[in-house]
Amino acid sequence: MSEKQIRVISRLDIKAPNLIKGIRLEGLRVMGDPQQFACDYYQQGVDEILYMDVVASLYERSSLHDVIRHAVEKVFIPITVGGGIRSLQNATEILSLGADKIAINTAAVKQPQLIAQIARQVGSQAVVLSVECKREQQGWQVYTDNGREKTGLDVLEWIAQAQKLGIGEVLLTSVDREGTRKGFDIELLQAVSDCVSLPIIASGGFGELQHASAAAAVPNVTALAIADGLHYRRFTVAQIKQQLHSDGFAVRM
Amino acid sequence: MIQVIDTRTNNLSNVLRALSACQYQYQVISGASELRTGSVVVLPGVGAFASCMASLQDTGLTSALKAHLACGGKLLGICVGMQAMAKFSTEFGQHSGLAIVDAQVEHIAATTEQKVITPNVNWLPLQVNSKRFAHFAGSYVYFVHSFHMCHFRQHEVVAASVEYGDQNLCAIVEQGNVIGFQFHPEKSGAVGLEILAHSLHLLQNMQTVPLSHTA
Repeated sequence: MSEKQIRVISRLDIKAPNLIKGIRLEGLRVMGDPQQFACDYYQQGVDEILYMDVVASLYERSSLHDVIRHAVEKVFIPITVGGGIRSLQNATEILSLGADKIAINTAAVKQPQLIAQIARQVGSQAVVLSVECKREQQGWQVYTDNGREKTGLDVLEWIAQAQKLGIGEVLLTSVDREGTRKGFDIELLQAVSDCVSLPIIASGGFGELQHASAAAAVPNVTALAIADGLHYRRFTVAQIKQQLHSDGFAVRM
Repeated sequence: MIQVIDTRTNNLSNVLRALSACQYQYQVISGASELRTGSVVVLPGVGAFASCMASLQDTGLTSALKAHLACGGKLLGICVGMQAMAKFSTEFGQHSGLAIVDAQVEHIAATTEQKVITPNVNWLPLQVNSKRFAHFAGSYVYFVHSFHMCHFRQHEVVAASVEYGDQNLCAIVEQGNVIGFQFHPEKSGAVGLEILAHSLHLLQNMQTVPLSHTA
């Protein structure tokens, strides 16, 4: 049995044309040109780039497309794009620009069959279910629109349903932890891991190197999405991978 | 001469950009009549096996590709483009492939007793069996797939594999004038581009000996 492989993903939240960063997905601060950050992370050896369009209004769409168009010229690693994907056509547009996967949240909640429709057309491997989770008295609730809108859906039930519709991965963002540097919500990751056979991307809360290994230890977590820790240059990709490696995980160096 | 088949798959543009980054010129083709004798044909693929085969069938390329190989042409398949070389796949029912490689395509979970995470979305290090790829032993390349090529009649055609759970998944197939990658060289960083360029170089410089009918 081989060591478990863990990918380090840089998460770039985009309010076109800028890279931005918030806390609990709010209070957005402009960080700079997303292209520069993406190229830097690629050179550093990051395993994947995740763009999340946080505004996703019609007007901003073409700017996001430009961000992707530029990235694929220089960055020869997988690219996932989420935010504002409302239809099969939106999804195929993004993929035809050179993205490898689309992440879908709000539109999937409103119309679950859209997941199946997109998966049939482009393959499940290209469909990531993005789930924004907030803790409740019991369990976690699914939120949409960058953690602003309640859905009334239970996270575990929703993911189980989406798995049947044909998603390929789950991007699990803890809104409570996002941007706080307090560590990933391990209980949330564990609870989802227990009820899926899918790979999980842990997102929200990375603040210390030890946080990476704690999330990586959850069985179905195969990737960590990191924003704050990289954007503020608090850590390099190599430092994060080195920590994972010394804690017994396999990483691409 | 490099000819890339447009199977209307979403990774076509990425493969083309990777070829350009490797300083290769190419021509995109979509029908059998455009095949040039002796060319290296690149078959990209992502998504479902059946739709890849359907697009080859619609354009007359299913039989034309085999004739092309028999006349000394070469073929490089990527992901589903590699899987298409098998006899058949069990993805969403049973579908015939090009039957260039005597193997079949099965779900990763169907060939192990153990619990396995699918799809396999990972960067994994290559374990190399073929001398011609020795230079890439240990290189990490990017996989995203739920089905894999297995049950090979001749195991020597597996030029490289990767460990996934308790299984060894075929990563590179090499048989005569045919090379296939289960991973995505166009998305595997600098080393992916090197593997792509190296393989095209191998194919281009290969003597155009007709492929014997092994499958």
